[in-house]
Amino acid sequence: MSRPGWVPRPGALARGLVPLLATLLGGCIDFLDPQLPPPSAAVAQFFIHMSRGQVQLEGQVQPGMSLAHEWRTFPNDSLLVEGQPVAPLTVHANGARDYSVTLPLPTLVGPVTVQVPIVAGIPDRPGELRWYGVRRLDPDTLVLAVGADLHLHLDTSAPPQTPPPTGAQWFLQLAAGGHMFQLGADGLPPADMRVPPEFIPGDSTSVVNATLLLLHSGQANIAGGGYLLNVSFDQTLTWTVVRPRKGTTP
Amino acid sequence: MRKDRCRGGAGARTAERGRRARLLLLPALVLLGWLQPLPAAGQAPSSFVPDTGAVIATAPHWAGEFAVFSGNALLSGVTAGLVQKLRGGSFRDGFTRGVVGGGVVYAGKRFAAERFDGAGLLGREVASVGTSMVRNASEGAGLLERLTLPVGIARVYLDRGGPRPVRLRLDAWATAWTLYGISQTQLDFDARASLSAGTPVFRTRNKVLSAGDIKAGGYAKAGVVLLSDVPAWGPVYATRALHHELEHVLQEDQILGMWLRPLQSALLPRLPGGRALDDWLDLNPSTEVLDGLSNLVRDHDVRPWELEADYLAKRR
Repeated sequence: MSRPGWVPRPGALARGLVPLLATLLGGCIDFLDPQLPPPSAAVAQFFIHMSRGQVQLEGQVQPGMSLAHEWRTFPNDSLLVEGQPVAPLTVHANGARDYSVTLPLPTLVGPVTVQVPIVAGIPDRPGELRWYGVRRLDPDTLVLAVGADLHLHLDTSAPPQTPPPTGAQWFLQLAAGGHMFQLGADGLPPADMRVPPEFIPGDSTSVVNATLLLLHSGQANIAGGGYLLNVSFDQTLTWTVVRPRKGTTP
Repeated sequence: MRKDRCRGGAGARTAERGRRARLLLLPALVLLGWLQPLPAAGQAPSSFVPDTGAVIATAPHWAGEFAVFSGNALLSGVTAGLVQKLRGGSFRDGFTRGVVGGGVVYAGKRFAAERFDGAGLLGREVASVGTSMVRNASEGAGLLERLTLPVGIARVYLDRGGPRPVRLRLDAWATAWTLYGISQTQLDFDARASLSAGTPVFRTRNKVLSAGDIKAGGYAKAGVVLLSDVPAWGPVYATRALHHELEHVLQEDQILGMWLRPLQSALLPRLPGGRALDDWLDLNPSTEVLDGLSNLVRDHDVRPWELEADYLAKRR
């Protein structure tokens, strides 16, 4: 029963009700050692297509998750392609950015340069990507004598490239009159690609389309593995080979 | 309230009892939701995973602000409108003035999200003025007739027309949590953060707070902030975690002022010794109310109060 005029003294409250509540309320909280999972790396993944003096780049940069389990951010999320800032087309919920751009190259063989954006919380970023294509030494159109070998000439020398390209492959395709002949190998193509006449398709066709596809890839990583760059590259070179019909003089 | 009860005859007392019974209806409904049984193992929730967090993270800034503002305005308006109607007044009057109070609550929460020293304290006081306006609207009083201003783990109640214009009440739950923080050797009192926040702030020393299987960057317990201070998580996260919990402190003040304090005033004086306790103490189980509502929204990331705290703590 309450006594009229009775007022609980603060001291009585502190001694009675409050310690009881403190014991009851706080009993469910534990203090654990932090188990910190390793943060995920930022990853930049690009596909670069080089053709006819243009470069087309498509790809994505994922900032990754920090130690605090939060998606990292970009102070400036523009990609630098050929020295020009390229804004992302799409921003995903995890902070990833999609890019797509087509730009002219300074020369037919590049260089293609790409600089990935800085990611907040990662002290460094992969250095600038600088890759060159292969130069075609022949004119667009070649005239092939009857019974002669087809010679396609290339300059595969290039200044130092970063990161060093790896896993190069090439494929040459000759197509004429609905027929096709292919050859290819790993590594860089020879400077003089020779195709004997018996492998040139379409005897009765006067025009043969020759297409050379070159592929390579590369990877760069900063110390500690906090920022990874993966790039796939392809270049397409074409020739039109005019082959006089039998009985005519080239 | 006590004066009213002494006036009139049996009819007036019956009417008063009826009003009080109706007044209990709203909290009873909340309690009913709180006591909903948890789904058993065989009643697995839907596999649908809403990605509200992603939507919030990428939504335009104005949309987030509008959502927080309108959520507070609507909750306050409906509360004030319903309570005033149950007390025999006008829903429209209560709702309209409750919306205004909710807007002031939003402003207080916005202040608390800012990063300057004292932002938490300023935000808490502004939000409490807003909550007072909602309660005044509920009771048909003047918009600023009665004000409740938090002072750490106590509250100053200002009543311009009342017999005691100024009254100080100690928050029993907050006091208990503060004593827990002081007595717990794994927690340090952060005086600077407490001054800035307007409420006690305790930090661990490179430990993660955990309740059962759930690890937390921090807790707001009846307005007292407990933080997992893990330096490896970085200063950005630490600041965000503090402001996230400060938003919960303001939400708990809001729950106390709009729902629990009126309920205490109606119920506690009926108990032996209750009137004296009611005069000096705020019983503040606002954390437990939020825990109970969490049973209705099992996914932590889509609870409205978590979305609000997340949004305000992240967006500046």
